[in-house]
Amino acid sequence: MDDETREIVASFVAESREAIDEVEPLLIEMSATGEAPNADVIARVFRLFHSMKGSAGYLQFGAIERITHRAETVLVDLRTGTAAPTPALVEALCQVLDAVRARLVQVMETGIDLDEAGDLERLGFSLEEISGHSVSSGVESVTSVPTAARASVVTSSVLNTVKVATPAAAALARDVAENSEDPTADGASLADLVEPFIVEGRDLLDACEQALLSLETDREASGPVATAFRALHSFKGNCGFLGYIEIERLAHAAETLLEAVKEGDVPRSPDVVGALLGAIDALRTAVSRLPGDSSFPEGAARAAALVQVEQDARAMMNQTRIGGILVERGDINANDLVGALEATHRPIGAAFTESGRVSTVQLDAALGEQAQRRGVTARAETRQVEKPQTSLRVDVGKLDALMDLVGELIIAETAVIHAPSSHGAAGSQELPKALAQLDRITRSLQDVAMSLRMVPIEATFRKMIRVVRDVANKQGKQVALKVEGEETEVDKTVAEIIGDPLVHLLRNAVDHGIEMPAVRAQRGKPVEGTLKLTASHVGGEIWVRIQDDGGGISRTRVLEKAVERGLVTAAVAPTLSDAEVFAFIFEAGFSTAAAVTDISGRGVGMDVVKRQIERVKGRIDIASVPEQGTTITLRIPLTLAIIEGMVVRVGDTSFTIPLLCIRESVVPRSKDVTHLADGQEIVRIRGQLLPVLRMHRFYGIEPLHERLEDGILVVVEDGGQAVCLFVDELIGQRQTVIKGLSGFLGDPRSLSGCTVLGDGRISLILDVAGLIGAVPRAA
Amino acid sequence: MEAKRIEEEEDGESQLAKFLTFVLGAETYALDIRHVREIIGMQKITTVPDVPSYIKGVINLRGKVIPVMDVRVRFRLPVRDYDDRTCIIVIHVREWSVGLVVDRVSEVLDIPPQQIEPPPRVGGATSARFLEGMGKVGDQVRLVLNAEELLGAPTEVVL
Repeated sequence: MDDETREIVASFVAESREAIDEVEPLLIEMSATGEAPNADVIARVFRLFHSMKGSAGYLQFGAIERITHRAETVLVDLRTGTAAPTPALVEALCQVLDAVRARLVQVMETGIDLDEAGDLERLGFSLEEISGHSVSSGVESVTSVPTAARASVVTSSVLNTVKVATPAAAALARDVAENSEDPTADGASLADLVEPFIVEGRDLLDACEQALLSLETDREASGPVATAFRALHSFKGNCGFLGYIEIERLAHAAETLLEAVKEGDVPRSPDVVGALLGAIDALRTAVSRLPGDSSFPEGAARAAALVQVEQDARAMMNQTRIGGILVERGDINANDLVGALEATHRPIGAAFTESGRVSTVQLDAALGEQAQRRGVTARAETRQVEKPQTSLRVDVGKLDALMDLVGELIIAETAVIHAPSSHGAAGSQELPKALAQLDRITRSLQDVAMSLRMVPIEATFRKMIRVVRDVANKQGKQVALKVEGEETEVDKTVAEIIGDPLVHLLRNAVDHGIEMPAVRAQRGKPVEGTLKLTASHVGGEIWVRIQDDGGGISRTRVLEKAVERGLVTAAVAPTLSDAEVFAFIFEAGFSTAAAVTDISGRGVGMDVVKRQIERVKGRIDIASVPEQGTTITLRIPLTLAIIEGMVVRVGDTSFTIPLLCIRESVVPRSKDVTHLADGQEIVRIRGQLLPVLRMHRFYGIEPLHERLEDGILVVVEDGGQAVCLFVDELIGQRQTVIKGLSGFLGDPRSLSGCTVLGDGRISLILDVAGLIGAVPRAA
Repeated sequence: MEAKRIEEEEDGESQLAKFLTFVLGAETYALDIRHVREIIGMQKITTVPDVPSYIKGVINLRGKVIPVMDVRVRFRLPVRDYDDRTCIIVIHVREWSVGLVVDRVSEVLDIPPQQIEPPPRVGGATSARFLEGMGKVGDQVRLVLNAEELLGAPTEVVL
C-alpha cells in the first residue's frame, strides 16, 4: 500500500474501532433489558453500521460492506418493529462486531479485505436467519449505486414539479428516506427536504384557496381556475415525490374535480367550490402534522366525497342543459332540439337565436333559469390575482443578523458624530462634511434594511376573506368584505402576529356587529352588511381599521356588565368617556353577548387580542355609534426595531417613552393638584382629572425634583386610560434602535427594553400599558 | 512552576485546564477561561429597577447592552468603592453574556483537574455554593468558581 492509502485505511480502521467500542455496550444493554429497544440506541447502532458500510464500500472492502449492510437492514427491522431484539439476534450482532474487529486488523496490515474463510458471509447468513429477514435481493443494487449519486437524485429539488414517473425512482427515494438517519453520510437526507415541502406546500394551498374564492364570484374567468389547478398540481407532485401517498391521493381527487371545472363539465356552484375548499382545509391539516405524523386517515373519505360531488354535479349539468330548459319553457319543441344537436356543434342557445327560432329575450330568461338551477351566481366581479414576482426566499435568521448589525452600526455612527473631537479643528469643514455624508448613507442603509423585513399585508388580509365568508354563511347573514390598502407594507413579524387578532375581530364583527338580514331590513339598512378592512400608513404607524355597518356597541350594556363585575362603581360610570367604557371590553372574560355561539361570546377573545397587539407595541381604539356601526382601529408602529420616543430624565436614570403613547406633556401648577388621603395626587388637565405616577417612587430612584411644579408631567394613555408620569426633565424626541433587556435580568416591571442614546448612555424603554396596569384604579 | 510543567505534558488538552484568576479582598478566585469573553475597565453602569441587589445594572459594550453583577455583593462580602483597578470580566454562559465586577484581575493559570479538590461540604459559607472546587497552585489556593452557579437562574420579579 502506498502511504496515502495506508493513511486512509488507518483512519477508517481507527474510526470503525472507536465506533464499535462505543456501540457494543449499547447492544448488550439492549438485550439485557429485554423490553422495547430504545429508539436512540437503535439509531446509533444503525448509524455505526451505516457509516462503516459507506466507508467500506468506498475503500472496496467488499466483505465488510456486505456484512454491515445486512446488519444495517436488521437494525431497520428493529426500528420498525418487524424484528424483536431477542438475545439470539443481539448475540449475532455482537458476533458481527467481533468479526469486523478482527477483519479490521487484517485490513490494517494488508490493505485488502479477503474473506478467504468465508467467515463474514456465514455470519451474514445466520444473521438473516435469526432476524427472519432476507436481504440478498437488495445487496447488489445497493453496492452498485454510489452514495453520491443517490444523494443527487434526491436533491434535484422537491421544489420543481418533477413527476416521479418510475416506481424505481420512488423506491429509491423511499430507500433514502429509510436510511436518512445520518445526513452526513448521504449528502442530503429526506429530512432536509421536508421543511421546504411544508413551507411551499402551505403557499401552494393558500394560492389555490385564493383562486377558488374568486371563482365563486366570477363564473366567466378562466384565470383563477388555471391558477388553482397549477397550484394543486404542483402540490400533488411534491407529495408524490416525498412519498406522502394518502395526501397525494386527496390532492389528486381535488385536481380531478378542478379539471372537470376547467373543462366546463362541472359548474362553479357553491357545492363544488365548497367541496374543493374543504379539501384544501383537510390538506392543510395534513401538512401541519408533518414531519412527525405523515398519516392522513381522513384523506380517503374526503377523496371519495369529492368524487361524489363531481358525479352529482355532472348529472345536474346534464339535466340543466340549455336545450332542455328551452323545451321545458316551451320556446322550442323536442324535435327542434334533436335536429339542432345533430346539425351544429355550436352552443344550442346561440344556434337557436341566430336562426330566429328563439328570441334573445327568451334565451336570456332561459340562461337565467339555468344559472339559478345550477346555483351559480351571476355576479361578474373579476379580480386580478396574477402578479409577476421577482423575489427570493431568504432565511429569516440572516435578516435578523443583518438588522442587528445595522442597528449596531447606527449606534456606533451616532457615537462618532456626537463625540466632541468630531467637530474638527476650528474652521475646518472636512470632518463635519464627511460625517454628514456618513450619516446620510447610514440612515439610508437603515431604511433599506428595515424595508427588507416589510411585506405587504395582503397575505394576511387575504386569509380574512375566507373567515368572513365562513362565519357569515354559518350564521345565515349576508356580509360583503371590502379590503383596501392591501399593498401597505408591514414588518413581517407584525403581519404574522396580527393575523389571529384580526380573525377574532372580524368574527366578532360578523357575529355581534352585523345584524340578521331581517333586522337590517327593518332598520332600513341594505340586507347585505358591509365590513371594511383597510390598512394605511399614518405618520410612523400602520393603521388597520375594521369598520362595520352593524348594530354598534351598546355603551349601556357594557357599563352594566362592568359594574356587575366590579370594574367600576355605578356612581362613576356616567362620567366615563366612550373610549374608557369600550376599554372594558378588553378585560379578561368580559362579554356582553346574550348568547354564546361557538364563534364568540365566551369572552376569552378580546383580552388576548389586546395582548397580541401589545406584543407588536401597538394599541387598539374602539369607536361606535349605536345602530350605525363600529370602527376598531389598530395602530402599530412601523417597525419593531426602532422606537420613536421621548427621552426623559428621572434623577440619574434615562427613560424613553414611546411617542405612540404620549398625549401631551405639561408643567403643572400647584393649584391644579389635588391630594387624596392616601397620598395619591390627582392633576386637572384640560378639565380632566388624571392620577399622577411618581416615577422616582415607583422605581426607587433619587429624583432631582420633589415638587410636581418643578418637574414635568407626561400624560400617557393606553386603552382609554390616562396617567401622568412625573419626571425631572424632558431631554427630547429621539428615534433609536431598540435593544432587548437581557433575559438574564428576568422581567423588570413595565420595561419593554432599552436603547442606546447618542452619547452612549442607556435609556430604559417604558412599557406604558404595563405601567398603567400597575397603578391602582380609582375605585 | 509545577503548573507550567504539567502544561507541557498535556498538549492538546491544555485549553481544558486554563483559568482566569481575579481578586476579591483577600481571596483569589478562578474562572474557566472558556467562559471568559473579555476584560474591560470600569464604565458607567445604568441601574435597572426591579433586579436583585447583586445586579448593578447594564452597560453599553460597543452597542450591546449587557447586565453587570457585582461579585462582592453576590458573595455577601462587604462592599468597597471602585478604584482604578476595578474591572469588569465579561463572561458568556449558556446564552447569556454577563459582566462581573471584581477588585482586580490577576493572571491566567493552568490548574490540572487532579490539583482541584472538591469544595467543603461542612461549614457552608455563602460563597461555597458557587464553588466548583479548590485549586492548589504551588502553595496557594485558588477558589475555582462554577460559572453557571454564579449566574444562577434568570431573576424573577414578584409584582
